Amino acid sequence: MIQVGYYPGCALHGTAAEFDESLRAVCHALDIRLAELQDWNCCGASSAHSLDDQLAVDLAERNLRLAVQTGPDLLAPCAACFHRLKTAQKQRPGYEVAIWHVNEFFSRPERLSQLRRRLQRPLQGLRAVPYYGCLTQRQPKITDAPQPEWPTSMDLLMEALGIQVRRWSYKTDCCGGSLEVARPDLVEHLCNRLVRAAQEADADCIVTACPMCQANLDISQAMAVPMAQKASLALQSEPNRPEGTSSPLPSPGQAGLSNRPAEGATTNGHLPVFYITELMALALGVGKPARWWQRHMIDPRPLLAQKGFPIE
Amino acid sequence: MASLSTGVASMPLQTAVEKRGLEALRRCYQCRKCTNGCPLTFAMDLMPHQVVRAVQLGLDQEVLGSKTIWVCAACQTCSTRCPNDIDIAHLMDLLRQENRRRQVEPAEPEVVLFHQAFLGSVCRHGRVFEVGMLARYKWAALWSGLRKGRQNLKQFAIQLWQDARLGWAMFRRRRLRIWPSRIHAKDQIRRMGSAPSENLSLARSDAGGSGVSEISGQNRSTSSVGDSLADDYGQAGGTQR
Ligand code: SF4
Ligand code: SF4
Ligand code: SF4
Repeated sequence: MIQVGYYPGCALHGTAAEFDESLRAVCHALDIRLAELQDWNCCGASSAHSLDDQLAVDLAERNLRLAVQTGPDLLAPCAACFHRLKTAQKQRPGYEVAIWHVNEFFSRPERLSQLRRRLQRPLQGLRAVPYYGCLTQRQPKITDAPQPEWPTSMDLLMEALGIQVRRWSYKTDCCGGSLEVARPDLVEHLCNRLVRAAQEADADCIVTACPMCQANLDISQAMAVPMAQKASLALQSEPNRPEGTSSPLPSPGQAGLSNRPAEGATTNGHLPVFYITELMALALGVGKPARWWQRHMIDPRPLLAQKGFPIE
Repeated sequence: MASLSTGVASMPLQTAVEKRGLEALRRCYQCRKCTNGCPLTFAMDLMPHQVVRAVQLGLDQEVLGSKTIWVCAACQTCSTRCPNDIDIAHLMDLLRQENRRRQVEPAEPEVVLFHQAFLGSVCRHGRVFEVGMLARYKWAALWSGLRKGRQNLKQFAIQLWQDARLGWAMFRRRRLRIWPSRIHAKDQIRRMGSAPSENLSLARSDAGGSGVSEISGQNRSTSSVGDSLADDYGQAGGTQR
């Protein structure tokens, strides 16, 4: 039994409770005791660093102080929290604590072999793309990510669970993050592109380890922005584009020239978006997955049933 | 614009950002690597490499009045790839903060209102309470949209319907927490940040009650966080465009 400091962050206490519950179940199964920081506060996420540099670091620093008192390791599952804590640690040196993200934490060789030993139900037949998003990787000066443009830690985890990992080149593309609230049209555009790419990679689901990535991909598939708003977005965006700056990542299926949301950009056949810990728990046969599936906007139960996994 | 006569605000933008750690800005040789990797260029009016150049050229108003600084998602791709080690993502942060400090009318007021509602919630509870934060944000955004003529009643109604649909869908799936999760050491949180505690005026005015007070400018302060949009509209409004 080892003990690890745990900083859940606001998302895991609210909209992403299934991430928290599944992580706890997995840790319990692997003999890891999560010691939640006493009276932790919000890390400030993107709002704090947008409006006040100092507030952003102050908020994160208070948690670092708590973490040092709790132990030498700190697990911060939310990508945004992870990034803010690492940033504060780099800017205000002296807090001796190793800050871990879920993928890195569980993909170390000894954890992987432990995971393989305890596997109850390999997830054979599931085809998935790993989606890392931005903030666990970039910028490497802050995150210490060994391969920020092509991470592999979640790939290793998924393979250990028996999942067929599909190759795609969108592992670390942005989902739009917190723009979801104020500009859902932009997030929908980014997420549509990701979902289409996942479908082209012949995946039947997307795996994430970030509450914002999960929510954005899940919600944007479930809710579509009205066409009128979309059209005005397309109108605004094109004339301002200077020469030579075509879309960095052309949408698959388009000629690769236009960045505007394609007509009928909504996907036919939605892809469930899982947290890696949900799938780990499913494969380990622990926790209450049925409760988690209910919370998804795109219901994963038909897919799981089709692949022969129990859904109750 | 009274605020522009104060010392910090009259400093050229380039000096202001260099003082805060972006000396590297001078090294930019316009290779456009930042822009080519940026996922949000489709919604920007100035490309990231143009922002860097515009700051160097002293086009402060163009930069601070741009959509770009607000639609940047802080994904850090630009900073990761810049061959000259320029932290463009941090530059965007500093430009957002200068926009607030100098009370330039933001080109994307909804984004500002969201950040303010978010921080207001953090300051009130020590943690974000999504339902409260979203309700406050929505009310402030709809109200300011109507007032500024950015939205007519029909769009207002469509928005409200969309939000209700999403809200219900999330509520039904138990994705929303009904009660805030509060921390004990709230006073510690309220003392944080670059300005004195009135700074977090969102939290204070919110504690008083109505969401409208958030944007009606009752809590004037020189802070970067607490500047209410109403102040911009009242004082600097219209001078930018
Ligand atoms: S992919 Fe989206 S949510 Fe995930 S870290 Fe990046 S911006 Fe954040
Ligand atoms: S990548 Fe760096 S050097 Fe190249 S244009 Fe952008 S800021 Fe300038
Ligand atoms: S941090 Fe902002 S400017 Fe830089 S690549 Fe991401 S969205 Fe573009």
